[in-house]
Amino acid sequence: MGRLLQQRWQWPWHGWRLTVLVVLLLPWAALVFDALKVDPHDWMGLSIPLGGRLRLLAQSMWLALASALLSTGVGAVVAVAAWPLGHRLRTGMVWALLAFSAVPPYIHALVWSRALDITGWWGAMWAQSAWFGPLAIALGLAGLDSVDTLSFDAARLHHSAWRSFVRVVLPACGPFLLASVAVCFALAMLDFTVPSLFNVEVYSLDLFSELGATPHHGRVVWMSLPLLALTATACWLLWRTIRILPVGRTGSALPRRSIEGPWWFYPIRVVGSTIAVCWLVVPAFALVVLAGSPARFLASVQGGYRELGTSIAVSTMASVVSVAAAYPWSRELDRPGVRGVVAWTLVWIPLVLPPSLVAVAMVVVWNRPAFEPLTGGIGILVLAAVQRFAPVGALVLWAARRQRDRALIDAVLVHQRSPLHGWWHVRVRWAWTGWVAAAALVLALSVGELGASLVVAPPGHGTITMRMYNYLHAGALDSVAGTGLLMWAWTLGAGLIAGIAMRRAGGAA
Amino acid sequence: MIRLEGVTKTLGSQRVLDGLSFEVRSGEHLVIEGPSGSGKTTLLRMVAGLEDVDRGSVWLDGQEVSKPGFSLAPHLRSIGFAFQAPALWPHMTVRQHLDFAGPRCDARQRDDLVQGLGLQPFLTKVPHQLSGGEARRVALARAMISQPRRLLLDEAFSHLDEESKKSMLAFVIDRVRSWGTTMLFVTHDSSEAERVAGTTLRLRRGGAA
Repeated sequence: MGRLLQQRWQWPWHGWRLTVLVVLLLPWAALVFDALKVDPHDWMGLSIPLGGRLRLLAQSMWLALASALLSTGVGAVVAVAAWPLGHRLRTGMVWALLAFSAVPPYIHALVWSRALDITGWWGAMWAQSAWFGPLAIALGLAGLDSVDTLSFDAARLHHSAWRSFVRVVLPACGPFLLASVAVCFALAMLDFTVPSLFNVEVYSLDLFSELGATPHHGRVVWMSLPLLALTATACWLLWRTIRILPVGRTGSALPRRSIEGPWWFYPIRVVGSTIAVCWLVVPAFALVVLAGSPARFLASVQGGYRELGTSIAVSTMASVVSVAAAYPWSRELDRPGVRGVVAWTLVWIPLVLPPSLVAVAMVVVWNRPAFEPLTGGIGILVLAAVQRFAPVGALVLWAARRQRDRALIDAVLVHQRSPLHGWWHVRVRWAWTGWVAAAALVLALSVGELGASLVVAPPGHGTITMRMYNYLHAGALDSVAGTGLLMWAWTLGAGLIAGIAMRRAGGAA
Repeated sequence: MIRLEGVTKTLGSQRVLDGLSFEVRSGEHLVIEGPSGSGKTTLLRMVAGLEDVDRGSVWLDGQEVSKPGFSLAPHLRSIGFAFQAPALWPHMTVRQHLDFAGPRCDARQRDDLVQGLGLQPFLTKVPHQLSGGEARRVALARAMISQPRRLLLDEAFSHLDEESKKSMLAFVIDRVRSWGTTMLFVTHDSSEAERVAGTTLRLRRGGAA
């Protein structure tokens, strides 16, 4: 009887899963179809960058690698400096930093272009590093926190604290540092907003311009292959890494002493910590200064209230729809075999493709009279955000579920009166923190979304990010500082909610 | 020789050890017993230099190694320590554990430990490929590989089956005697305590009973 009930309850899930699969896969299928329509003789020429395109790709790689390495390096140095802090404080720092990392890149670009008054490659590299900084520091801290303090103590009985740290702690948290480099590299390769604001040409910006210039989107798909190969490699590294990351706490709650490193490490620690503080404090401080008086702040907000309303509506709807779409999907990520591989592939595709290409795929499928009622207004913006960030939601839900004790789930299966009874009385009570975390993170990312919105937004439905981007290009920084401050507070608030919810999800495990 | 003079330690708001004093002469064994939370592990960690003392001092072979505001680094104390948990290094094989913990250990000495503790079949394995009992043996080998002058065992045999426990304890006691190593041995098991055949220190909350 129980098995029959369980099977009957599977049908709605299957239906929903299939709907999500179709809606999310359709744009990719259309994109591939468009690409196949291109003359096969052009495939090689378009997908292998030569001359100017090769130079652009190399410049993008160099910029992305430099930003990823600088932010990860600073993250590692700060994590070492924070080693002796209490476990609760370190954990709190990780979640606060993750919340901070939701602040969109062009806010950092706005602040640093004004604060440093520099342009070009160095400015873009610095602003991108500042954008990744909080995430990299959080990953560094989480990495060191995952190391069993007792195993470090065991090493200290045989070698100096520094040698023990280098030989035992650093390799143990290596996967986190590798994950940090991979995710920062992939994000930097896809981002064109920061480089364009610093007048740096990058490959993703070239693709964006090409999309605007040609009606043959299939050609751009072929042109994006080198970028796709690089970001896919980074994401593959990330995937290999996060699947082996330790789950739950180890012996990290034991007290730790500060590590006396060699003389040359002291200046590195000071410089790294100073840079990290700058990355965290300067954006908030500069935005407050740039926003000026309360009257100017209000004027800035009033000027963009329509776009602000659109952004809030889009991000709220996108977060709800994304979590609903991601929930059945996240359960597939643990499946072995083909189903698991398909689920993971679906997660990675939107994360490794340039956002403008995602947007073109959306336009190809949804920009038809039949879908006008659904996608004519802000619906297409919501769909674009779901297409881009539902995979992030699925990853968060997957991570939250991994923190749960498998034995407790087995206990529910044994003692539940029906699957619905078990789901409502136990599983929902466990899962809600993960849902809140995923929704809040998608909300924060959606409100800052720009790359896809620029392409898909119908006339009269611009978002606040588009307004800011246009003003920044025109050099009117002060006019959008007020809205920037508001957005910063909004994303930080959503990120904090995500952090607190995830922490509760971990604590309940 | 290990000597503690009026050692006091507070963890959080709890005074774990309060003015504890004792002395173990070189080559002697001290069995430490006591209920959970009586400070047995903290005592061993202070002797090893992994915890500071709040008051009092710790002496090893006539040298003051710990006092408030000063602590000789653990690796300079010639101490082997097998913790309650194996605490192995996740990225190293068993062979690399022995190499890292005993870089100056000669091949004969290492072979003796590998044979005695039955490590030969899993020298190339990493910790997650080991069973609980195998990980314990590796932890013991790591603690003994450098022939330390002092060996601290914190319930190191508690998760082993009776047969393995007997043979391994016999091996450890034999080697420790032949090396003249001073041993502090924490256990809840009276049969283990009998086999070690040393002086017994019973801890209550805060000090010796």
